[in-house]
Amino acid sequence: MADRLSIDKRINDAVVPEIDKTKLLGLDKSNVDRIELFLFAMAIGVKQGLRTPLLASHGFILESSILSNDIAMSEIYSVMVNEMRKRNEEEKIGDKDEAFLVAQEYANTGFQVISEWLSNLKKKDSEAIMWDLLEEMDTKYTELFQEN
Amino acid sequence: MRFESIDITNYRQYQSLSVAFPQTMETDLHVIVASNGIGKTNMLNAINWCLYGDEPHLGDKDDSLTICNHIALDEARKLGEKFATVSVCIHISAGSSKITFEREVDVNVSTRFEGHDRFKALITNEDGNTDILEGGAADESVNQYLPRKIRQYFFFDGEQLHNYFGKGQDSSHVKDSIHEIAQVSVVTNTRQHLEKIIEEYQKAIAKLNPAVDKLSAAIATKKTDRQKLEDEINALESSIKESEDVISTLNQQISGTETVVADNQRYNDNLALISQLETDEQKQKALLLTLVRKYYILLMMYDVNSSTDGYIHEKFEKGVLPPDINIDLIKSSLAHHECVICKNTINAAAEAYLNSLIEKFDVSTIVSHKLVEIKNDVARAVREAKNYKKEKQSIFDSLREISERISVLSSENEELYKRISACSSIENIGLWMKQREENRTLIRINSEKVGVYKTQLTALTQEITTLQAQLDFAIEDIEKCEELKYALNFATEAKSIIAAIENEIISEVRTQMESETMTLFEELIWKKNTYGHIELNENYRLRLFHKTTNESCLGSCSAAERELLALAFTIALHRVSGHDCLLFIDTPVGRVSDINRENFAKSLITVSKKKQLILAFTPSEYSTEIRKYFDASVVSSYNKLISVDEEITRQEV
Repeated sequence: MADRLSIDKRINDAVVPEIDKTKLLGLDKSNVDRIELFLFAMAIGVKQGLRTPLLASHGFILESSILSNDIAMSEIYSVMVNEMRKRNEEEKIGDKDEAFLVAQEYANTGFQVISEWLSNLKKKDSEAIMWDLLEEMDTKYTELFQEN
Repeated sequence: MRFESIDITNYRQYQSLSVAFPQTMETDLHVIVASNGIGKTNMLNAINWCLYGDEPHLGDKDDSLTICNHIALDEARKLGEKFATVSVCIHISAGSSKITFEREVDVNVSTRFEGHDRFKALITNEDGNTDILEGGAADESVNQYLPRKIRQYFFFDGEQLHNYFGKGQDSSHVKDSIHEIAQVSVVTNTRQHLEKIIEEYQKAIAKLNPAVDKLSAAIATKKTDRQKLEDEINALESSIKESEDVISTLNQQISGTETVVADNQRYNDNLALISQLETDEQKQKALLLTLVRKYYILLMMYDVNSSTDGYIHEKFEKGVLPPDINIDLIKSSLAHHECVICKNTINAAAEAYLNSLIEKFDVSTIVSHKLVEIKNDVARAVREAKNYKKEKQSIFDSLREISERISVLSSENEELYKRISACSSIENIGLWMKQREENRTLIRINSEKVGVYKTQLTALTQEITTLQAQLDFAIEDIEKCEELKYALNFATEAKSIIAAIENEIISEVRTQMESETMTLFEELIWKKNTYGHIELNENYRLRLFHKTTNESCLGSCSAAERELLALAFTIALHRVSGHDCLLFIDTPVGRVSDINRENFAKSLITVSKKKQLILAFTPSEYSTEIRKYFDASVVSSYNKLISVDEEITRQEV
């Protein structure tokens, strides 16, 4: 039984400290809780539609912290519901281990993307990344609500 | 009256010095050149010591060396003498008389204590007969030619000239000195003496009638009060005039630059506003980041959440999900037969319905429960994603507004900076405006006070008149004192005549001083069309008025012009007082530079045609500009003093 959400050890050792150091998009530890960083990475992964298995797990957020965050729980399980429905395994929807596994793999994809942003920070600073994301969000918003 | 020569023996750094001031041409100009520390100022001290027995330019006498040259002391000791003698002789010619003032003092070579000095005046008349005066008689003789009270107008340094009319300078000593030498003091003393006599007569009459005594005492008190009020009013009016002068000077200095201070204030206010706006901009950008973090998740998860929401909704519609209820509350209500929320009694129908809900809940799966648990939050995430555009627009509007305001303020500041940087003394202007405002406030306060005091003065004068009438009546009533009354009336009448004469002389002397000073100033000043007239107030504070604008302009005169005005005032004082003596000026052009130095040199030559001028320069002060004019054709004597082994000052041969 998983008692915490994990991330890849390489991400924990190399990417997360760099996020804290560069304060990328205000996702650093001093500004937001770790669960927000995790959800952000998961959203990138979901947008990519790609799950990346963790090579080596490293505990990142205790379950007790997640249980007290309704939004985080609903987002994690929302992804889980979709995955299980695709696989016709709806009976597994209540399986927390499975839910955490799916969330971790999407988040891992997201962390890979963030890692690339960080390595390109010299070319494109945090503010430029923010404007790129806003453009992406505008496009998505138009797709979703103003297409017609 | 002029100095013919000075002989100095064993006085401070002068072991033996003899300087002659012969008039060999139309000008009576004499130059002494000596570096700082060689003894220019001590020559001034030697003259004062000889004539008046003190050394006013010495600084701290208690902390200075003995008056006797110490080489002279050493030599005397080696010769086995107990004392060394210090002496200064000044040889003067006044009309056909020749006078020698000589002061000596013996200094003990062992203890270096000074003995009592000896002073004498040797006056030789045109027949060659010589009178020797000593002690008080010799002092009186000095006062006859160079009155001690106004010696600062014969022997002074350049600094004194420069600060002559400076703000805060007490001009009352000028008034006192002028009154003293113009014999006003004699009249004033007579008036004061008569006042005492009147008081005594009144006291004598009062003894015959107690009412007179009381009335006299009351009048005396009222008169004292009135005098205090009058003094107060004079002081306030003098202060008001001073403030007006200051304002006038400041107006000239500030003229045309008033807006710079306002511009500077506006510039700084704008900087503060820009700084505040930049802080606001940072806050809005932080909000934008928060928006990105929040809505990136909601928008990118929207498809997933929307699908989950639809799925849960479908399940709910089919009734395959447990009711969205708090099972613990229902169980508690059933146990108490009363709703724990609304406190209504649970009837049989309600109980049956609640039991059916519990049954449905208990038989549902973990999956169903999880779906119910996330139902509301997923639905909310779907709804909230739609707010992105509105929230983003609000932040963007704020950022645009801030950016526009920063742009407007920055443009305005560019313009302001151009104007401010064109002005070289913004700090001074601010200070001057502050001083002008302070002086305006002072004038307002003082004018109000003067108004109040004048009302009080009128009331007091009225009271005195009434009391005086009562006193006169009381005195009339006493039959026995006819003789006393006659004497009192005579003294009162005499006092009023003397007081009128006193006022007339004071006014005449002041008018004479104004006129003489202006005439001399016009003669000496190189700007011939700038200055109009001079005014001296009752305290002899001088105001100079511009010829065309008629504004007070002393404050905007250059250092050289102010010194020249002081010189004109001093010479006028010589003339009005009847003591048309020499002028000895130490460092006369120390504060004057460039072209004004040349102008000043020319003016000094003009003065020297009517008066003996002895000028002591430092070598650097006796510059090319001065030497160009002070050539052999105008300088009657030139003496350069040098130091020998840093111990003795001698004339350079």
